[in-house]
Amino acid sequence: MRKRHIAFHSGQTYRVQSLGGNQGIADRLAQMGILPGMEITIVRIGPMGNPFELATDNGQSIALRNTEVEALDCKLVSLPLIATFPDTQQYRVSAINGNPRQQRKLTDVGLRPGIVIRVEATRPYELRIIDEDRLVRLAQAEAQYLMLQPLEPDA
Amino acid sequence: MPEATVALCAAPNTGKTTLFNRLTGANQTVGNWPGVTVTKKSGHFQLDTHEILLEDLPGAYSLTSTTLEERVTRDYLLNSPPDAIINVVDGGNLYRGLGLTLQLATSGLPMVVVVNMMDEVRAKGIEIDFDAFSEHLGIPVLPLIARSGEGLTNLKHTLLSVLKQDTVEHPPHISFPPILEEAISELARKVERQVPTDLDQNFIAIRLMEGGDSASRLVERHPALEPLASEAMETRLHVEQHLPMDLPMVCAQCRFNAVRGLIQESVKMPPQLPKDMTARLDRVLMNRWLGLPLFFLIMLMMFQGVFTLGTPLQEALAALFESADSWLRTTAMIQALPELGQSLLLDGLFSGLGVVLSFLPIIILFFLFLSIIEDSGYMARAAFLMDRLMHLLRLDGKAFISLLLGYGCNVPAVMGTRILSSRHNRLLAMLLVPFTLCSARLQVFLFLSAILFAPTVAPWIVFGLYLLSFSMIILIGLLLRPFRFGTAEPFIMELPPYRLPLVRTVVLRAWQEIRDFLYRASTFIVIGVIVIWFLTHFPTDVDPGSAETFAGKIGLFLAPVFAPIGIQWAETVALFFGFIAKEILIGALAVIYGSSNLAADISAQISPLQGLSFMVFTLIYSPCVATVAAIRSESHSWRITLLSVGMGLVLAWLTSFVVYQGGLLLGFQ
Repeated sequence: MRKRHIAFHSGQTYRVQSLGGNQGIADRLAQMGILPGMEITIVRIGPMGNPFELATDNGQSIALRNTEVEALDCKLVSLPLIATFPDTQQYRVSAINGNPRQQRKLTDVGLRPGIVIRVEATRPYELRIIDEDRLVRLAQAEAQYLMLQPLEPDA
Repeated sequence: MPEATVALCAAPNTGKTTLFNRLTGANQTVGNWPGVTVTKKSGHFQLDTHEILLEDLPGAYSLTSTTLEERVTRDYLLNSPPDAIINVVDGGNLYRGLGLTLQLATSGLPMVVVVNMMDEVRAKGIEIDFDAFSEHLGIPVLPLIARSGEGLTNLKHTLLSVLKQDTVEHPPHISFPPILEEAISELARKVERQVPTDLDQNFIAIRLMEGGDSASRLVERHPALEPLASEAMETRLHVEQHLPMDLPMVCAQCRFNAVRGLIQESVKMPPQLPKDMTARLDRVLMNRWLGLPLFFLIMLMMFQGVFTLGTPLQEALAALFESADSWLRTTAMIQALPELGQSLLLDGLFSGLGVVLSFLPIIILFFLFLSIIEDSGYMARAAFLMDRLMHLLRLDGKAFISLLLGYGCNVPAVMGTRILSSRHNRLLAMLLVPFTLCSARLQVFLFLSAILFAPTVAPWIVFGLYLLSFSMIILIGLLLRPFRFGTAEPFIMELPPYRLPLVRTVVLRAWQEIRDFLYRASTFIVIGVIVIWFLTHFPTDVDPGSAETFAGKIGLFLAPVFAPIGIQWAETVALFFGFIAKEILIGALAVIYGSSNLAADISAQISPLQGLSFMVFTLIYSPCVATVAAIRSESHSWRITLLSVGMGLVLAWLTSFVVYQGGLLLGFQ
């Protein structure tokens, strides 16, 4: 079984590479204006894990089942820390969401957009800031506000 | 200018229906598009001195059709192009609607674009430059708030000048990859030489290259296009070799690129969109943990509302019919009739219809609540929340709504299966709907359980019947799981923003449903009532409803079949008539017993256990005639219709057998 770095999680943003092999879905999405190059975000996942509510960068809101989401050829471009697993995967901090108070909790420990981290433990979270080789601890509550961009393994 | 036809064309959830209602008022006819079960609405309105026929086309994202609704819309435009098109787009989400707008604009048909929901646009701080918009699109673009009617006068003025062809429209050009562009214009030149038509030749060329139904519709109308249609397919194959994707995908890419450009030229977005109400509401209503409980609470409140408000009204209406009945008996006109005529009118028609019509308050309330849920945008959320569970039965979340409708009345529920996205889903839902406990059955159950059981037990009996109905649906859903009816379509559902339902829309919608119900009452049910009256009153020399009448003979003949489930001949006859409409079961019992005090007679004749078995049988056995007719017309299949009736009868007998024999074994009477 292939080990998945990342499971589907609300808050993840994907870039659509191609609409995939399922012709029925691909045609329908294309006619609705959901096309390669677009970014879609998982807004929420339904009770019992299905279906998914997706928001496109054009403000459309649609529901798809996970089998149909998996049929799309997508690349993960951004995800919240809460959706990661401890791994050697490196991430660049892409944004810090939440209200100013929540943002401050993250910036106070030295996290800011642009820096590269690795997730060493989850719940509670331990992040290694690669450039400074420093370990940062975060509570679960803050983990949903830290948005990360996965880096290519050899980059 | 004689009467002109205008088509209203838009993507779903753009306020198209609101505009339609604004323009036509109650001046509408509702029916079906020929050959398919997609609702067709048309209406009339006065424009200056001209009478305009307005056709409400089904919601479509594109003329390159992928859904049944889109095919209907495309076929209409290709087969019988209207004199003008009104295209509605949602101003809050222009990208979504403009793909269709561009396709329509290139058709060459006179057209007006209305940007609806301008109130929401302003509230969000979005600025739309209508002059630039019209300029770039080459077509008049107008602001509108269909909900309040703001902009309606302007729309009518513009429509009039478009119809009179005072305004010169210059359809926009969508740029395609050079090889495709060349192929299209070459084909278009040939089209122009072959057939003079009201549609733009480039538009026709693209439709021919799309092939399939699009091309066949065009060839049907212009047989001269036949050779070009096959040429177009060859061209497409050739062109696709040089394109990265297939043709419809490339066209969609190019079209939406043009849409992006159009939006850039004419719309100024605020730096940050305000957090909207929909997102905030959804955080609660669609919450992973709270969503489902809240949904069930809302459903519970709806049913509570329907029945607490509806039941007293129903009782009042029934009492009214009763006193009208006794008053009619004293009038000279009735007394002048021969005895048989009196009996037909009063015992047959009047009392039968009285029973059915007293249902009206419940049905009205039911549809009022339902259209509120639908119009507010909550329906899609309900479907989202229920999808996982319904998918276990190989249905999608929307099917839950059909089933839910069934708990009001099976007929609209079967008709409502047309909202489902594939034939498989529609047929499966249609087969499940008859097992819902509709309000007609509920009447029978409330009446019988109140007579046969103690007041503390009776509600639990009715509750138990609801549980039985749920279990039957799950059981049959699982039984039918291995079967596939037609091809499955992908599940793609839009989640529209929440909006306050409009009283006008809700009332109109409810009124249409009521009209349907009254129509059925005046046809099916009148016939049913007369048939009962005939079978129970003939031959004339015996007591009405006795064992010697035709009905009694049928009941006695079937007695051996029904004995093991504790149902006697009189109830068998009643069940027989319940097939015509379940709500007349009680009325039929009254006629058969020939009693003035039905409650006393029933408790004397039927034991509680027999009554329970009778109620279980009533719940499950074949749906009423009106439902069967609806299944037939929605499925276009006798096999499905017969399956529905047969499955119901067999399962009803089996379940009642288990209940009755099980009850006897446990020592109940």
